[in-house]
Amino acid sequence: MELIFKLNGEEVRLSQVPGEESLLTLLRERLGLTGTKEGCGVGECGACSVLLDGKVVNSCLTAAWQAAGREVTTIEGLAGDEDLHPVQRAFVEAGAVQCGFCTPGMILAAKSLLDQNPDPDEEVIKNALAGNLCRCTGYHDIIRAVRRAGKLLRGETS
Amino acid sequence: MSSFIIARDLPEALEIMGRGEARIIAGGTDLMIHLRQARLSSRQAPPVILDVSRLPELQRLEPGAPRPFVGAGVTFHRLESDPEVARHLPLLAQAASMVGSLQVRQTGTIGGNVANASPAADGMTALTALGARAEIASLKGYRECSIEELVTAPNKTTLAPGEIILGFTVEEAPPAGQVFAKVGRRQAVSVARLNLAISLDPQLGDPRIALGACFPSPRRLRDVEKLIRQGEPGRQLWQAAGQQAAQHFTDVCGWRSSAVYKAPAVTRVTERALERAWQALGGAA
Amino acid sequence: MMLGASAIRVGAQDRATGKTRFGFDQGREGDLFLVCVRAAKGPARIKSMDYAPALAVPGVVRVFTAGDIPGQNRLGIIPVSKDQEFLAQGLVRHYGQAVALVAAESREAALAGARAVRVELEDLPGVFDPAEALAAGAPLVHADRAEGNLLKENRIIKGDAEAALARSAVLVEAEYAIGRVEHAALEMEGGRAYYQDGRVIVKACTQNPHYDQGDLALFLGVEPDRVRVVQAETGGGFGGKLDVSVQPYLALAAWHLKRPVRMAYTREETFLATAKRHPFRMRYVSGADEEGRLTAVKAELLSDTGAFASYGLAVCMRAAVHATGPYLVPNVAVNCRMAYTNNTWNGAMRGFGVPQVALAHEGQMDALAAALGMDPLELRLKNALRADQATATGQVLKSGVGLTQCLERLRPIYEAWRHGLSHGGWHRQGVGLGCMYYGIGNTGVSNPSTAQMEWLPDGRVVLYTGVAELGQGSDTVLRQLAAQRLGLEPEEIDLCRGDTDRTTNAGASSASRQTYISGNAVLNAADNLEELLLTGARELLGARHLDLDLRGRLILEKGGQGRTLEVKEVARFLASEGREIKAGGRFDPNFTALDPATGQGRPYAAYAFAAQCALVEVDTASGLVKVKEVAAAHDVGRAINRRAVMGQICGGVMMGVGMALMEEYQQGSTDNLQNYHIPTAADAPRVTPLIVEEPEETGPYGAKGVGEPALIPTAPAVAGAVSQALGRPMRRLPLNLERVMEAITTAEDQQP
Repeated sequence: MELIFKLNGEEVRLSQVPGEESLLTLLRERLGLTGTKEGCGVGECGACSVLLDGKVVNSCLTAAWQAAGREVTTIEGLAGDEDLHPVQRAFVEAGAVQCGFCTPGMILAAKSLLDQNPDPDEEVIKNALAGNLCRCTGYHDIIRAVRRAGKLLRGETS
Repeated sequence: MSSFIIARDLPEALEIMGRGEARIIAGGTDLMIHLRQARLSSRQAPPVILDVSRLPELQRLEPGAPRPFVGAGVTFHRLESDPEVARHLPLLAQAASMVGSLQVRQTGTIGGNVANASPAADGMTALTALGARAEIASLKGYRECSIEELVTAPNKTTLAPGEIILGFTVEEAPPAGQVFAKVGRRQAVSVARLNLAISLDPQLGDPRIALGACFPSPRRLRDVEKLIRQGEPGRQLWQAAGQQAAQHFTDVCGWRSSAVYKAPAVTRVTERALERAWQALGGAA
Repeated sequence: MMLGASAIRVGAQDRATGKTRFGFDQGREGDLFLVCVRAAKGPARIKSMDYAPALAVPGVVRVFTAGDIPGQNRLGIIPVSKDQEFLAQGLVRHYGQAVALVAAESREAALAGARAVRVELEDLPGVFDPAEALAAGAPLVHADRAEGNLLKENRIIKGDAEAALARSAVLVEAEYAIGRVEHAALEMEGGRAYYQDGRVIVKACTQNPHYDQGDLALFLGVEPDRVRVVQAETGGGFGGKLDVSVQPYLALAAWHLKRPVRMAYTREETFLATAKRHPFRMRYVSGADEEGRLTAVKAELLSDTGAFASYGLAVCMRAAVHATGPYLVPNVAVNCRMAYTNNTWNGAMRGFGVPQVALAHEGQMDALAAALGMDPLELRLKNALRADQATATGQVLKSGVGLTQCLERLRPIYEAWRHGLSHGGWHRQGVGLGCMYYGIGNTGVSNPSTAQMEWLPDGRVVLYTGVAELGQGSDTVLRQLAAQRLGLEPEEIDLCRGDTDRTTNAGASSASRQTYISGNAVLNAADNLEELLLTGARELLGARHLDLDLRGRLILEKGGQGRTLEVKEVARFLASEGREIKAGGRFDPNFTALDPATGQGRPYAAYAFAAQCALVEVDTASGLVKVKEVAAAHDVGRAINRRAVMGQICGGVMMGVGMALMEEYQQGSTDNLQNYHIPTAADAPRVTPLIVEEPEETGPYGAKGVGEPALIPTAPAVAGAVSQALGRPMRRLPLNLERVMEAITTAEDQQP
């Protein structure tokens, strides 16, 4: 049977995907999309976050087959060809990227939050991002970046 | 290598389960960890993984019904954000909001929480306090049982091969008096060191208290409930109830090393939760 | 761009779009996978090992054991204590040590192969506690060491501490302890290697590519030029990627198999088989006179290096040097001992022993303040080191002593918090302080850095640096410094970084040394590049003594309306003569070695200072502590990039909060991030970074360092705040639920 789903806007068809394979392994090993990171393999760090039908999930805790017929967005699919997505731009400009290993997952979690809540306050941001560990920034500039991204998305600043 | 089957309807799912070699996946937040562990230790994966997350029967959510029902496939995120759940079963909404991360809440399900049978499962403690009964289906038919009958020990249930949990019916309780308390090792995303689900009514006629992460599976503290039924609401009663809860805990588990922390914590967290539930019902502090 | 401006971090965009390939992401189609076979007990003797079953697993290509190592199977960062066997040689010294290495066509095959290797181990008596390790008759971790299990003992002796304590108006005596901490950089160790033209090329995450090259050459028994190390983009280090990890395995397999290989640790492997922060037990006696002036500090420190030395010597010495804190202490007696045990080894982690001693020296300041009835901030201010005063090692600091400024900056926040404390039915609040100083660079040894700058004929300018970028921002800061010196914009400078074929040794990205030491090396290279260009210009103009000035891409005659040249004209001229426009730079801080008996000397050229205060709230029902606010004042000399400095401060504070409240590695029970917790965003306090710039005259534009200082004061400040909230001193970290609950109930039991 073929596993068919939409990945970053384009349909992918894959054969011989084992039932126990995680979406993370499929993305990184089978498709070479290493923008999705692995930080623990047990759903604790959020580095492997992707959007499944727009909602942020840990791809290490998602079976590849659970994506069947659905839409998966990874960090590689967020920006256009030229421009950064406003959340990416805000992260870069606010100094929210240090080592950058948590960044792809963090950005997708932030996007998912802002899609549901365009103007979250600090406490809401902290709770929404609690599933994405960062060891470099202390989250300070990440929280600033999410607020800035909200403003960019709401058109309140450029 | 496992084959993966996405069940389209309940009969198909039951038929596949009836063959006896399938493992169920709902959200995947527990199963995928087991599968990774199997892979790292070169253990065999199950021959069949059966995805039940798209079965409409498991997605039913009727918190306002005369017999409120929560489908096994309902995610924690749905429980924490559904306004009807917040109105009728706030205990469940509160418990769901304290489970793991947003990522886990958006995929993890209440049915999986029970089937995985972790002693610290937040959803299970809330269900236990709400007197939930699991509805279970197999090719042989339907049965129902309480959570305490279903979950017997850490990661052990009485589910027979071929059975699927469809969902849970719960008892109604005054929403205002429902309080869920959780203690973890950090502010968010932690396994419960202890969790507590409380429901009080203004007459203290039907108090419910369930304590989790302290026993092999969550337990109703019926002796504490009795104490509250017979007591005079107020600080002294909440204190006595807290002490009784801790006593219950040490009676069952013995004075092990973890009790040095847990006994006082159970006392205090219980006292505070009762105080808050009573205040929420309009009672004096 | 002005120096100090918040230039956007080099590489941030590629990280935000997922393009960056870290060490962990290395690997291509067709690479072999490597997996270690790890001992399931330790210490133990390897009675037998049978890897034939592994070779029978489809896809397994080869199994390596210690006998396959062509060179020296004893590696380590410090030349005099190289003792780490990367594949156990007869003896397993700690649980989890690698005994064999499996190479296979897929990760699954490698894992299956690793499980198929039959290792028969015979338990040996082990020792797991440093005090027991130093007792007579303890089992020896390394039987060949004449000193037994004692790796090192460092003393700092100044004045007569015993006599001064005897004369002191107040004395406080207490014990402190802190457990092992895991770095938990988000990227696990990983990399790739291949064989080409008689050389092995290793691309992996690392904090020190040139050290890696040397040790890999030793491991393979070849000259260093047969090994090329390229630093892969590295997802955080914090000291955890200073030891080599996957690199020897990659090099060994590529060397033998002549095929590309890749390796990536699981998180469990990172926990099991990389260094941890050294645990410390500390016993202090501190004295003061009636006015609160410190008279003497006596400290007995004991730590555990685990099965291997790693950075143990450096941690032992640095902990001893910093044990009395950033204060003027006339009489000092410090003794620090570091023991081998059969635990997984401990190594470098952000602060090298200073965060541990800071818990104690700050706890002592709080205890003294209580004994004297003084405000803890006033007591610290009274004793803070000032310019022209001597440290515990007798080093008189001439400039860059900014502790009093840090404390003054904190004062209004500290006082407001203290006055606003709230205590309710189920919560209590407290405020605590932490101060520190930190010597920049390695202790009492030469630790130079080198760099080169090149002006290419096409006008591009290249900075060559061996400095490993880990996320701390060295790429950005070094480029800013070079640009500032040459009068260019940072974007006009290309970077060539961390490649042993193309860059020269800059030493480790550790000890908060790269801004100060490599920054100076880069400035030196820029100066020399300028001199090359000006010399070329004089030749081109035929005026040997002309006084010229380089301003970006122009060369001007000094002080007049004289001639102006474009650099490209000079570059073209020099190129036509076949001359390269490339200049080197070097810097080694001024130091003296410590006296072996007394520990007196000038171990560092520059010191960073900091003071932080923390506001905490204790939930007295559960024992859970929340750090609500931290104000962090840091004397960084000069902020080269303000955003980067604040990023380091906020990150360091958070790591300090983790160490204070929740982090403790326990072998066997904390094996992944679900049971070893690090702080989440929900645990993040609001942080107010306060940058103090007390210029260091030897620093690049006055800069010092901030990476480790950011973390050091936080745990003491949090511990002090919790102590204040509960009315009991909290002297063991972490302040987990159990310890806090015990303090709460004990305090209540003692109430009348």
